[in-house]
Amino acid sequence: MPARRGPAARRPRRAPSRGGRAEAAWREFAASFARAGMVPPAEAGLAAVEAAEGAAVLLLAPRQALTFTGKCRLRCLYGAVRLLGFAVASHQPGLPVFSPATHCALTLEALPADRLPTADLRQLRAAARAAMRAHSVRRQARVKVMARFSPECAVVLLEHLDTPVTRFLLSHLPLSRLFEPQKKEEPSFTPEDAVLASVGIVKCSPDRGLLVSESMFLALEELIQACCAEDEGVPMVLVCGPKNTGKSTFNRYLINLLLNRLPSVEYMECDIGQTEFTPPGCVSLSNITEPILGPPFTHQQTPRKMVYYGQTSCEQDTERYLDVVKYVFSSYKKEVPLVINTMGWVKGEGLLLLMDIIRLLSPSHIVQMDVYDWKAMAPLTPEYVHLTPGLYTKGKQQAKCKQMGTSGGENWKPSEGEGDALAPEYKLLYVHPEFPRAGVAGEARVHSGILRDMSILGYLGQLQSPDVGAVLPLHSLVPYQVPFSAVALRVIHTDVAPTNIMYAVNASWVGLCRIPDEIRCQTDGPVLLTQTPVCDCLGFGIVRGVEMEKKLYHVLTPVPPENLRLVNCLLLGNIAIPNCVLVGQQGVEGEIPYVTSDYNYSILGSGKLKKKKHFKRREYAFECDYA
Amino acid sequence: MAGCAELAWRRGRPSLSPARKRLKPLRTVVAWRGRAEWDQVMVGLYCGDSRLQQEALDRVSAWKSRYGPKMPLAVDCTAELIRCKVLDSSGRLKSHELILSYGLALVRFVNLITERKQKMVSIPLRQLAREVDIPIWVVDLRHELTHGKLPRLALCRKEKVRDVLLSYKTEQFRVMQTVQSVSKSRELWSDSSSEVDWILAQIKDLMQENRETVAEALLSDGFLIPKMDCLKMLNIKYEANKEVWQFRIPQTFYCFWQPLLTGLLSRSFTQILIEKMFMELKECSDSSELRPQFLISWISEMLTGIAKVNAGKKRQHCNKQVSMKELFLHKVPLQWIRLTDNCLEAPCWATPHLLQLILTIMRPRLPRSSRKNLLYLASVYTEGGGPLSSPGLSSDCSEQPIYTIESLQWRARQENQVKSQGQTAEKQDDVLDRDHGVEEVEEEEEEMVTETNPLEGLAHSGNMVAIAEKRAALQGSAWQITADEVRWKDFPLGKLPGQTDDPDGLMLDNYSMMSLLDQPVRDEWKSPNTKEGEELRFITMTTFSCIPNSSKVCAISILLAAPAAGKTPCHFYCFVISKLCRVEYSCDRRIVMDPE
Repeated sequence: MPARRGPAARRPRRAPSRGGRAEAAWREFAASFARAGMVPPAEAGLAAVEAAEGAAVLLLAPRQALTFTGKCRLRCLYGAVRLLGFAVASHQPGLPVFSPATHCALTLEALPADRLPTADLRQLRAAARAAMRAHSVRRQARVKVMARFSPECAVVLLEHLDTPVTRFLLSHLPLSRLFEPQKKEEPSFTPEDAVLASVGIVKCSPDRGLLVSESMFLALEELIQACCAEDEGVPMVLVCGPKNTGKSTFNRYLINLLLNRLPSVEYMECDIGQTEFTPPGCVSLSNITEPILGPPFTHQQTPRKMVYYGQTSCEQDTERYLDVVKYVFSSYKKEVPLVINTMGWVKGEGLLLLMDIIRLLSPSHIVQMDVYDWKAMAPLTPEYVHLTPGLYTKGKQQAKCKQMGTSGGENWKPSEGEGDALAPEYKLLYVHPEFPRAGVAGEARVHSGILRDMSILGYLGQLQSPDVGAVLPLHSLVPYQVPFSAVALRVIHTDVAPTNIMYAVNASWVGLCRIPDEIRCQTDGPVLLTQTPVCDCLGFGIVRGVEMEKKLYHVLTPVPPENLRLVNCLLLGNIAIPNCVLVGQQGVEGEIPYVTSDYNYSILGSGKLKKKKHFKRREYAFECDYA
Repeated sequence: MAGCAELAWRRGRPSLSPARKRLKPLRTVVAWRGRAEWDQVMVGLYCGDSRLQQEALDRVSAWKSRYGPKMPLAVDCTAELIRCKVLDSSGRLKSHELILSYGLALVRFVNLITERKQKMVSIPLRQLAREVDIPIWVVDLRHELTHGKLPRLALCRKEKVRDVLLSYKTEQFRVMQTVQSVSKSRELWSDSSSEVDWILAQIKDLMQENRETVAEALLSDGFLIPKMDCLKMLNIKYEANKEVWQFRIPQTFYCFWQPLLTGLLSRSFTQILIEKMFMELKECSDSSELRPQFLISWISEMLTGIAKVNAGKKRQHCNKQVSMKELFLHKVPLQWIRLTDNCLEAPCWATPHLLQLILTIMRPRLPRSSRKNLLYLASVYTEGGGPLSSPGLSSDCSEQPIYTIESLQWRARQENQVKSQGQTAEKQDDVLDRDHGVEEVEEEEEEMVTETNPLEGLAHSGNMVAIAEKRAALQGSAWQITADEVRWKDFPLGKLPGQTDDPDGLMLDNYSMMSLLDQPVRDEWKSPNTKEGEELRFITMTTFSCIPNSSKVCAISILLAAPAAGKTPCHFYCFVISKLCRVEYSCDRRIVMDPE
């Protein structure tokens, strides 16, 4: 990596202005639109030409970058480009790329090609032309591109992208404009913009893309070095920090950078609120072989190990959370580097829990992201972690004595019963994110609940058959059925009266799990577990209906049959089917269950409990009581 | 930028063509399958029967699972209160435990329900509570529970008494509604019914625990001291002019409460009630509202009643056109000296009259001179003159009123006027409610991909292959692909072919419990057979969807959610609710539960 010098990183995001006088005038013109908020400034040298129906060829001058929103399939025809850290060369197959308005926009940048010194210009031109021809780029387009060709440039083919998952997602009203620009009017001021729009992407301000700060660059450099070094052990990188500091984006960037060098990276998800590769509420371990070029809902994949915790935060049952983390971690084989993502809950007990996790997993590197000069969170130096007790683990108290009486070095011994009293050995890397609004709670682009819904929809999108163009509504699909007595049932997050449990289960989101125990039942009724198991979760489904007479659950799930047959336990947590799925059901007979327009939210008490966070007492207390 | 994005999220598709907008009611996801389930739970929670309440609470536990952290506050709070009630009537908790349960439920209710109204700088709870019509005594109780001594159970139970009283009220109103006439209902009221007997038995039961609580509850707003809406319902015109009353309770109102009072007014309770009334009078003697007027009139009625019965007069003596039953059937010896003290401690414009009544009835009598002096002093104190020297009220009141045909006719006219006024007011309210109740949001006319695409048949055949493959892969497994030829697209999620809207459709009659080996044992569910009680923590009622007047919800949930130790026909409550709030979701089903 050092050889590459991480060009993505250090360079300021804006392209250096090097245009001539004529360009200056055009720039000013474009800037006037930008000021009006209508169109981001276009960059010089960007050439986009329609290559075919729904496809475009884009020529990027060396180091030129394009930050965009939208979605497309990307293929590099000549040179190399980099996308969120992942280098795409011309031998790579087409990559689906997703840059919705809800997330940090992707930036496509030309990389300096590793050119053979002997290669001459003509050969290079011929190679570029041949690549374009091979992908049926129209002749006219080829000519245009070649007119601006230089050996250091990069040529990419962008194709319109329409996958069953995205089709499914976009069919839900709240998400229907997910990939569209957040502008009031469609800007089509340059021919390039129009061409890009035809494949489904829109240029946007470079500020919307990933801003790599100096500290982030240094941390990444160090991590890549550690991961690619042969001699040391396999690194385990734990990433932590408060909410909205860019942990997820950092992880994606890191993984992509690692995938440039390594065939695969493992990823352990401990943030049950915002999961990367699974629906929410899970702790999981995934093997990543493909670059992450989009938000979670675009790359839902079956993890190597997954446990359904059943809540989006773990405050209610930290003990089970740790059990779950332990369980999932135990299947990590330490053969490839591991990236561990943690929760943004780093206050109070959350920090203590993080201590426990650090002690439990003993990572080799900790990346600590914070914005407020460590006010939110003390620096997690090995010494600090060594001394500080966690929620369930003890800190090393004696160490204090050691500091005081430095003379008695030989007297100091680790106390009996605490064999692992050695300070943890890891390298702490600080990262100060520098994007606007970093770390400001409540300033995230999208509400976390909506992101969770999107993950669930992304997961359910796998139910769409790949060869059909139209979206099949969920309720129209043929469900699986399984007898009450064949699968155990447990509601994780609350106590439900057993006689009424089907009211909770019907039309709900369930984890499809596998417990080692054999299902024992005295009747043909459902089997209710007396405690919440820590067990493998093979996927998720919707209980489409409960048939009381035949005693069957009907379940919709994308879990393949060969895994589904192993499922013997349904876990119900407080993660719900997105409202838009239930509300958006069309063409059904009669009333839609659980959907009403009679509920009046203007009545006091009709809403959920909201915690007041900033609460002040009146400054001058009166004599009277405050009852 | 982010702001824009977020806004767009919330509102769905941003407006492209404002002209195509139209109003659509906001559709939301709730925890109940439909109206029937909602109705069932609401009726269950508010009926007095612990078993049915427990069943409703069980259903609410499933709602809580569906809602997760989004559980409506009102549902949660109501459920917690009702849960206490169910626990209370199960008789399994001792009083101290009950205090804690009731207390926490009450504190949570008051705090949480007012929480939303809090601003950045905290507003005193009293003020908030007033805004949402939570009775002040509830707020005081909360304060005492959190910052002071634990109150006696009696105070928590006050709610219980109020609840029973409320059921009495509802019963009387129901009777009135069935005959649609005030005068007829007076007759009906006077013939005790089994319903009333049952309620009476409940209150007597409560009185054994604490008479004072019962007396206090009777004198709290809405019972012996009516609220305006109650008077309106009884077609009683409220006259601010004290003279019109002539120390009598309006007949209809008297008849309304007479059966209950006659049942309750034992010797000791009469003493307590009159003493309490004087104490209340002392607190509010200056106010010009209903309260002092009714207190004075009730005291006067009771004393007159005692005078009659003590003098051995028969009922026939009161030769009114309308048969008015007496409050007392037997002689009631009271502690007259104490009452005299009480009377004098609550000086007001009516003191001379009340004092005179007491002095007349009391045995042994005070010496004549003492009586005279006391009366004189009372008059001087309250009127600024001797009882006979000043014209006006005090002299008027010493004369007994004489009813004539004319006065009755006059009253009837007044009543009719009130009635018609009331009706118009009601209609207007209805119109307002409707405007307010129907929440509509702007939502763009949205045609989702509904066109039944011609590909569907093709998709189906394509799917058939996939389905066959899946079926093969599931061979020998408990999991199967549903074989029946069902047009799934006709059935929304949560509904299967042949399923009805029966709210009991998903109830289980049997299930087995299974514990796991090698699993950490925590929060263990009790054995499958312990049905109610420990297994449920939650409960609720809610948010009557369409109630326009939000403030009333709180008042009602407090009044109704509290324990009613027994069985009262369900529809009474619903009736009250609909009367007070004109609920559109009202329950017109007559689910009369057999007392046994």
